[in-house]
Amino acid sequence: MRGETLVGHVPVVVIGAGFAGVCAAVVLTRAGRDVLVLERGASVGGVWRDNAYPGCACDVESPLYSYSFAPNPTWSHVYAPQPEILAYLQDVVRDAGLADRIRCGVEVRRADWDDDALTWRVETDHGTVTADVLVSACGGLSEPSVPQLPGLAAFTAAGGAVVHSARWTPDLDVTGRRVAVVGSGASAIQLVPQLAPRAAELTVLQRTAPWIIPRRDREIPAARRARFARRPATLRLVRWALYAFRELLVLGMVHRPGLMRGVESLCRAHLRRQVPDPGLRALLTPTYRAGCKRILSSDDYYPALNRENVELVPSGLAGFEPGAVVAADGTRREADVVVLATGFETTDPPIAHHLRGRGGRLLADVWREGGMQALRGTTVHGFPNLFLLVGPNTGQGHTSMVQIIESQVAYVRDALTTMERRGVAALEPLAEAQTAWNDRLAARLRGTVWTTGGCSSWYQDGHGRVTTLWPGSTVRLRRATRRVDLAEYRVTPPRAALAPAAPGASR
Amino acid sequence: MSAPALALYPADFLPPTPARRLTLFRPDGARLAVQIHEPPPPRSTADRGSSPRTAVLVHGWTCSTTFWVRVLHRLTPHLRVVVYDQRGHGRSSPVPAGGFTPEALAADLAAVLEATVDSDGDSGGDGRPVVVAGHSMGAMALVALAGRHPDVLHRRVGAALLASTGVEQLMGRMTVLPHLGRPDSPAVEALARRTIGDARALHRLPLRLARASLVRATMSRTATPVERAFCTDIVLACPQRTYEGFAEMLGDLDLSADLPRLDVPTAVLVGTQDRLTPPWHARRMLAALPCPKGLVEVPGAGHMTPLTAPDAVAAAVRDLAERPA
Repeated sequence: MRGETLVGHVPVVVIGAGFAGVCAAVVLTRAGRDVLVLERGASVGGVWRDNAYPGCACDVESPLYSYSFAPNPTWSHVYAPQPEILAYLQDVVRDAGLADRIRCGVEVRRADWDDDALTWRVETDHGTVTADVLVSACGGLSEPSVPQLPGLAAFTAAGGAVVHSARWTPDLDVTGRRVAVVGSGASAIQLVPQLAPRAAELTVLQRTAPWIIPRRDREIPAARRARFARRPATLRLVRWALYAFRELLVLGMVHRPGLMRGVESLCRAHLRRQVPDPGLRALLTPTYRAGCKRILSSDDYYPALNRENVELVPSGLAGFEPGAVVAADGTRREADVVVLATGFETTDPPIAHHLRGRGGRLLADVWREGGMQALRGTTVHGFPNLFLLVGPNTGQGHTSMVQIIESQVAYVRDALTTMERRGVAALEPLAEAQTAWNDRLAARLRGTVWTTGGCSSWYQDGHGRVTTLWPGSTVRLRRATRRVDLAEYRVTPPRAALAPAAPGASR
Repeated sequence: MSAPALALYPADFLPPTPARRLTLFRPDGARLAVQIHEPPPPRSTADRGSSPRTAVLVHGWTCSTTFWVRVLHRLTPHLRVVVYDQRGHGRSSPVPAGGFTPEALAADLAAVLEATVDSDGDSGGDGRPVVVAGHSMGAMALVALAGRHPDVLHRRVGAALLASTGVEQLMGRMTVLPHLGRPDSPAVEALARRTIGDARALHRLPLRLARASLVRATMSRTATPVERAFCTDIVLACPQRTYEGFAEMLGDLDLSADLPRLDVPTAVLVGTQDRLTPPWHARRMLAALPCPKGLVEVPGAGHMTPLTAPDAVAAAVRDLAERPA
């Protein structure tokens, strides 16, 4: 958007054009709202634009990992690769005719609630607009978590390359080079099988072993795709079957962590089949309850670790030396390229450092003091007319995030409808309602595998509190976000209604 | 807040990370995966001057460096330890055609010693010997080296441990199968060859039965369930071609002429319940060694002593390492 300056007033501003932002734009536009989406990146796509590392693909079956309002019969694989998902999002934007509603390359610098005008003042690097309603759709996995470790400057000065998996540069060639992959999470297990055959040597620094189930990814045959296109009901059936199957996992994760033993034996059998050496297998066997950290799926990660040129070091990265990485256990390995597959900032969302609510309070400060919390994962006391998509305690470890996003967007849509119908200018959750909601969450989180499983994970904040996950089925979340209950909110009528009636206006 | 760790493997079975890894290229095309484990730097100033002594551990038929894991945990606090995957095993390359010979194993060991151990038979200049500990076919590689590379033996090796091994009549002396006749009768030997060397048959068995047969052959009743699982996993991970190639070699092996040339202090270790290489071998070797340093009998142990009797094996290695040359 070079050259364009944004001014004026928009009813709804959405920050971010990833899966959540696009969903909000489509649904709210269909509901008759005038929406402007601000995206700091060069294109739509969110994580599916940023994570362009080799091997990147979805962990959830694509018929499920897509919008209910935009079924896609053309997925090439059960787990579509990243370029396909990105293309899907772009197609959705195009088909919905939203291209002129999205401004890419516009970064929101700050947004302030104006309690007199009852609007958000959104300041960007391309001008300032005001909005009645602000929807933050920045996602939970947008800001790479980059460990600050000693020796980095010396490492790069000596010619070493360091790249985060979510900031992959296509011209980075690992052929014949010594590569260290830091991490063994979702990104790492997709990257390693791609890099291993090209690298001269590959070292995987593993802090905690992940539980990995068989992926059984396969191409969707053309005939099946044609049938999906001809009879959309068959695709819907597949979608709901996948959905129902994945919801079963909730039973184990939330209610009966002991049931996760079944998943563990599945994983251990997978490990046994794929890793013949019991020593390597011992290093790859997790020591916590499955589900405590995200359960991963892969059929080619373990075989890659069996390769002669691949070594698993069971220790995290502690620092760099010129031409080498040093693990926390003191192991030193020479490396030309370091790939940080270290994940994302999940418990301190960067957008919170840019949003100021009533009285100029910064959301990040509010959350630092009181913990990251919201009402129904979406609205925050002190921040009227702000809706967070993928907000606190809306993540999940078992199914498609799109389910959550659609539920939350439905909540926003209902809020906007309600506001219009009731003549409400500002909607702000009551402190009591928000506290009651979070007390309920906390009670439900006790006893879940995420708190009892014996691991530390990106689901937890610095105090071990699980602030990212929804403790229940997505059905339950959908029900909780179906309608806005005005009893939970402080409603403010338009300022004009409060002002004394102008002479002549009354009959 | 967090639940107790649900560890499946005792810490003892988690392979330590080597300080360095080498890939050793052999002239016949084989590649050997070598690991060097360094002890932690000495704490007291008195020890600081001398570099640590070295032990080189050589695993046996169908095993790998993983096989030494428990001994490694006991030695690495005190010694520099070199372990490697013998050709065809673990992360080393498959055996090139014609490579299933004691000559090749001896030359591999010689090359590993040349690459990882200083000459003069010590690594610190303080007259302490480098100990080579071989288990089963690993010990045979050492005996073969004594016969074929005496120069390497004298320059690099200060002491030796022959653990659970033999150098002749390997098939005939086994007690894995029920006794059908005199131990050295041709019929018993032929049967042993047929059954012991058939990797395909082993892998065709249901896993439970395959494990049971391996446990029967290689371990004693005292082996714990974890030891049994770990040991049989290692053997089952061995490529079938390696398994059968070396089985054939072992059937004809006779290194009795090389044994008298192993003229460094040599200890012999055997489990009393060893069915693959029964104590008969140990006593016979001890009698033929030019510089015997005692027989360690591990009561109740089977063939896989480094896995089931790691304390005894590690103690024997440290004993040799600390013995003045």
